[in-house]
Formats: sequence, C-alpha cells, structure tokens
Amino acid sequence: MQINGVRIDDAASEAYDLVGTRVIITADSPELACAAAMNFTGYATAVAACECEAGIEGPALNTTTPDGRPGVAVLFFASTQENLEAQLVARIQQSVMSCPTSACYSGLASETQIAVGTGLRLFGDGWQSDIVLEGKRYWRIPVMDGEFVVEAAFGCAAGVGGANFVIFGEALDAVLAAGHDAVEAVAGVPGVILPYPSGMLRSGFRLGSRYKSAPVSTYAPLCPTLRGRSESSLPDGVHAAVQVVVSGLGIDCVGDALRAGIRAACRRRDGVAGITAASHGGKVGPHKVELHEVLQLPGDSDTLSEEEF
Amino acid sequence: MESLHLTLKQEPIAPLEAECISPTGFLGKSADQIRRLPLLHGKDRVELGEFFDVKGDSQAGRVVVEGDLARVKYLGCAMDRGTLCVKGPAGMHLGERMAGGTIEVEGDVDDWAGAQMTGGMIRIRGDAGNLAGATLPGEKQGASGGCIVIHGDAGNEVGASMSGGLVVVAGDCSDFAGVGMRGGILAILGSAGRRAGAGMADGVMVCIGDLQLLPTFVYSCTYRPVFLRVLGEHLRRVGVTGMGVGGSTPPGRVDELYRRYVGDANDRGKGEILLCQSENTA
Repeated sequence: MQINGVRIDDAASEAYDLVGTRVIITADSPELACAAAMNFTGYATAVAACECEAGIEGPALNTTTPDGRPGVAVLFFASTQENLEAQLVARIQQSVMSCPTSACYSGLASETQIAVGTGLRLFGDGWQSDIVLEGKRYWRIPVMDGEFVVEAAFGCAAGVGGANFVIFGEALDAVLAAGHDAVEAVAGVPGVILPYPSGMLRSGFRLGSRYKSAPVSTYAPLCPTLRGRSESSLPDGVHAAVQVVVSGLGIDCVGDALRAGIRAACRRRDGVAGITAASHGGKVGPHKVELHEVLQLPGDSDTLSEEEF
Repeated sequence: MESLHLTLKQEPIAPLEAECISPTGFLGKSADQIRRLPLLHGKDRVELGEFFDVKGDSQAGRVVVEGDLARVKYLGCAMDRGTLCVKGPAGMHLGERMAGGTIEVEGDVDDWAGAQMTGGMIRIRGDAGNLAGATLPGEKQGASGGCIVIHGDAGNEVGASMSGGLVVVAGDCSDFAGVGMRGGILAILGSAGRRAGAGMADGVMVCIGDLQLLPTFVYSCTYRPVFLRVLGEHLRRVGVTGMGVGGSTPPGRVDELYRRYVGDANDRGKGEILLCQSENTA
C-alpha cells in the first residue's frame, strides 16, 4: 500500500485495555489552567511505568466549562478503575488544587463513576462543604486563595492505549517534520491523546531485557545505530525513525487518530521512506490495529495518489 | 406534543383540594377515569369532571391546566414524572412533596409551593407566597432536593428548614428567608427582608440585593466564590439570567466580589451567607 508515494507496511500495532476519564481543569486565566494541566499530565506516558497515561485533549471553551471560565480538557487513563481513582486523587491534589484559582470537573458523562472529589474532600479536614446542582455534587475545599471546587464523581469509560505507527526515513529532519504533521492531525481527533512528549516516542521498547532488573529495553530492530550488529527492520538508506503512540476512549477513535496521523505524515514525502507499526507478539495487549485496515483506502485501491490525497 | 388539557369550568367557592392533578396521578387513566377522580371542594367530595373540562391524552406525561386556579390546592402534589403546565394563578401546596418531573406556572402561586419537595423542577413565572420550598407544619425538614425558580418575588420564610436542593428568587423576598436552613442553596437575586438566615445551621444563602444581617453571623472574607460560577451557569441553563456569566444581560454577577458570613451562631453556625459587595455597601 502507498499513500502519496510513501510505503505503508502491512503491519499491526498492539493496543491494551485501559480505563479512562476526561478531566476539565478551569482557572481564572487560560495560562493558569494550562499550567495546572501541564503539571497534572507530567510523567504520565505509559501505565506500565507511570501507573497512568495522560495528555491534554484540547482547550475547553469557557462556554462549555461548568463554571464558565477558560479551561483545558485532559484525558487520563489507568489500568483499572481503582488505579484511576487513586492516581486522579493524588495528581489533582498535587497538581491542580495547588494551582491558584483552579477548579476541576468531570468531562465524561457515564453511569460508571469514580469518587474523585469525595476522596479529595478529606484535604478539607472537616472544613469542606458541598453543593448539589442537577444531581451533581461539588466539593468546596478551603484553600489559601478561597476555595478549590471539585466535582465529587467523575465518569469513566473503557479506553485503549499503545496503538502506534512508526515513521521512518532517510534523515531525522524529514522524519521529525512528518512526525509533527502527524501529531498535529491526531490532536484534532476528539477522544485521543498522545501521552509522550511532543507526541512522538523515539525510545520504542521491547518487553524484556538481557538484564534481570530491566523489564523493558530498547527496540533494536528500529535503532539505526544497531544496523550491522543486530537484526534490523529498517530498509537500506533509512537512518531515523520515530513512533507516534495514541491512547483514547475506545478503539474507534484510536483508529481514526491513526488514520489521520498516517495520512498527515505522508503529506510531505521527501525523505519519508515508509510507515510501519511496532508489535510485541501479542504480549502487550489483546487488540490489533492493522494499519491497512484503519486507512480504508477507497474501493480495492492500495494506492492513494497525490491528487486523491 | 400530545397532552391532557384540563380547563376550569367554574371557579370554586371554597378551596378545591386536587391532589390527583398531576402526570403521576393521571398515569394509565383514560379521560373518563380522570373525570371521575375525587376532589375535595370545601368539605364535599366531588368528581374532577364537575370542575374541569378534560380533553386529550395523558399518556405522553404532559398535563396542562388552565383557568383561575388560585383556590385549587395541591396541584402536582407528590408528582414524580412528566410535565404539569399551569396557565393561570395556582393555589397553595403546588408541587408539595414533589419527587420528579417539571411544573411550569404562568402566574402567581400561593403558599407552600414545593414544600418538602425532594426532586424535580418548579418554575413560577409570577410571585410566590410564603414558605416556598419550606417545611410543612409539624415537620422538621423543608425541601431536600430539586429546584424551585421564582421569577417574581417571594413571601415570608422562603426555604425555611430546607436541607437540600435549590431555591432561586429572581425578585425580592419578605422576612425570615432561609430561616432554620439545614442545607441546600437559596439564591435571592433581589433583596431580602428582616432576619434572613435566622437559626441557619447549614446551607448557603446568596443575596445580590440588600440584606440586613443578624448580629449572630460572623464575617469571613471577601472573595469571588468559584462555585457561584457553577451556580450561575446552572441558572443560565434554567433561564435565570440575573446571575449569569459576564457578558450576559443583565451583567453577570458571578464576576463580582462577595462578602462571606457564617452563622447562625445561635445554632450550629455552619450556614453561609454571601452578599454581593457592590450592592451591599454597609
């Protein structure tokens, strides 16, 4: 299969099950809301290492936030509902409640709910109070600039993580440029996040290591510096690769994100040799995301020309 | 929308107790069965058909009652679903012990509207009498859930002993607003009369206009409560703009500073009164 002259491997990435929620962080200014969200989503790239995966989904317009202030929508995932609740309580307390003027609300309507604000209220040491509006309970926790308002229950839903594609090319500059295009396109898809810094991952991994204490190690087949010493998956002339990893609220939106990302990565074909996916032999997760399947080229065509593109 | 229409044929000379007039009371009944439902006219038992013309179908859960219903009591009493539209003034105990659904009144309502309600929504386009959302005689707890929006003024003891829910008065309140509150929110967008919050043990009272505080309330601070913004957004959704966000008409009140007082020190003292700083300069 080719898109705009860029080869798309018949490869599949694995994806694992997650439980996720959408958190709306608001503040008096977009800058403060963003600062809280950035801190809140720090060190949250993979559940295996960080207990959670989180990323900024996008700005929450003040016409849509529960308190009418500017805000940021964050998607937050963990491996289980219990972990999700524990991580949210800890991170909201340290990263959101600590930020002046901030407030925090559930941005996902679901019958399955976790008691986030109910856990956080204990910080109030008995001085907390609550209000109930339209069946939703909001806790008011006294803090030094007034009150921190947090919704008691957050809706949660099934999610998937780890879906990915790898862009490889002749030079790092070309690969990074294609990666940026892909990240920009994926950011426009609702319900997904790119948990790694800048949306790209250069340290693709394999499960296991020659060292007992290391659960994961570098993905040698995609490391250009190991060509000649280890079996390489990179074609001749390819000297760099980056991986775009997507987590989201369901396999459908993750598929949409991969499609948007791959098509954007193929936009500038100069220096981009191809797209593939990293797989771990079914050890990472039960879901397989076939690149050719998500791309859904029209009819029986396996090529999308520049004009069609 | 398909609905059941009740039109008052003759004005009752004595209070007409019509507890059955609600989507809940009419559930699963034909128009003939509804006409035979019992009402109490003074001390006399009468059939609903004697006072009302009945047309339409109640299956859609929407009931419209028209006429001068100022002497018709208990409309929507204990209803838990559907919509009751009252086109005209309504009598006492409208929506008393209501648990769900919506009551829309295009007129004034007498005393005890939404008394002891636990859920649902009552919207009164005119004025409300005394004790809206309050407790009934001999009972300890007023409204514990739901929402009452009064677009006009309210009488004495609005929200008395309420323990939950939301009561919004877009106009002014008479005396003893929120007396004995145990919880919930009472939002007064106009002014409050004397002794507001007396015996308040818990809950929140917000007042945009004048309010003469009792000496048993203690000043805490002046700030912009974020939860008022959440309340303001909620009020905007239910059609009350007086406390809306900035840019709305009239100008939003949620951006302003509020003076926070806690009390009543004669009781548990966990109640909270928030006074809009720009309107309460005393």
